[in-house]
Amino acid sequence: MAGLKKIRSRISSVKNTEQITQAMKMVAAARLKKAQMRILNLRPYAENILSVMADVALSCNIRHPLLEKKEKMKKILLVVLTSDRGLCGGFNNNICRFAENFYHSQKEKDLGFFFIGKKAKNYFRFRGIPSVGEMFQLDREISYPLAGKVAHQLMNNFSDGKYDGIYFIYNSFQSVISQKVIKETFLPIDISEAPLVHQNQFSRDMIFETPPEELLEDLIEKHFTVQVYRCMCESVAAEYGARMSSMDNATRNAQDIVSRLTLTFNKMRQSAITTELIEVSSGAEAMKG
Amino acid sequence: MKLTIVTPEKKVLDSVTVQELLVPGAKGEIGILPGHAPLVSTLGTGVLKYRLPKEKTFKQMAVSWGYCEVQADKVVVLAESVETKKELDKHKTTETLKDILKQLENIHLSPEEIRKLRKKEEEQRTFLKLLD
Repeated sequence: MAGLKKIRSRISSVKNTEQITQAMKMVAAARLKKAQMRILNLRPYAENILSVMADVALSCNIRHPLLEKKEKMKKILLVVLTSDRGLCGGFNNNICRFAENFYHSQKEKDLGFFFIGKKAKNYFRFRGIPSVGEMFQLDREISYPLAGKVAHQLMNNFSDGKYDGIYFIYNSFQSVISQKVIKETFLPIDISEAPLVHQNQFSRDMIFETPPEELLEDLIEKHFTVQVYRCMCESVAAEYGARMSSMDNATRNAQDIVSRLTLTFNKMRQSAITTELIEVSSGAEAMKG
Repeated sequence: MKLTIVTPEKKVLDSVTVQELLVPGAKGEIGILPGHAPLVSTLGTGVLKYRLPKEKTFKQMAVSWGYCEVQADKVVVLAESVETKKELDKHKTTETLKDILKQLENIHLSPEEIRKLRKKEEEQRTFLKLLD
């Protein structure tokens, strides 16, 4: 009977695990919804800022250091966004591996790392790659002012000439079940692909209450902040998506194991009963004889 | 005249018809009535007011940095943050303001820090103005 007892306790432990993964899935799903809303709410603002900025820059023919592509990108700052906690499938691993490959492929350049999330920091510390800045607890504290702080810091680094370019590496939110690792250039800003809504109106008879140069300066800063914020939002949404699907898988696996164990348990119990019956009946036979 | 106000965190107004609009421009308040010439301006920290058609009183909200664009029959305001009277608490705002003023008394602040604190102070003062 020892085997039976063991199986019974295993069943109950797997069931407990199943409950935990199920709960984690629910939590991730609820947070994912919030994160998705954040992306949706940001979109109109981001689109407007981008188009206005491109309008002002192109129609007034203003040149700005942050909009100009440098010919030789020597020093690059890589901002890597991961999560603080695991249990979200390949989310962190994919991004760390991508960043590491990029690091090795660009050996001749001077690369600096800025880590957002504990996982990236630990991954690279293990490989002896230092960082110039770190930030944690993104998923709890994400807000626009926070993005503003980070953006300000990055922008100062760029304006001081410490770096020629700033790249972001993050998981973009494709759908609940799929994330894609993306590398995007954030500085210098490329406005050649920005949609131009009213370029003609602008040049004709617009009153500039604020001089276009000052306006552009402000707009560029805001645009960069918005981009940083968008990136953070996407990464957080992708994290919850990844966690949700991996916890869903774990729950399903646990259910499989439970049903398999129950089957074995029942088989063993039945055979035990059969053996006992045979013993009883053969004992009775012997008494008769 | 249709007014749209968006912030990074929410869409506050979406093409709402208004009769009159007062925005806190970086160089002073700008009043906008229907038929205003196209104009762009940045907004400072201050109170934004608008009046719906057939209404006598203005609706108010506090905005921090923003961008305002007036076109033929629509106005788009992109604001960093927008607070309405409902979302604010007078007691809390006064406390925050006191706290900021106390921090400003520190003589070891860098110019950058002072600038930041001054901006915060202005923001809180705007909130108070809105609440009165």
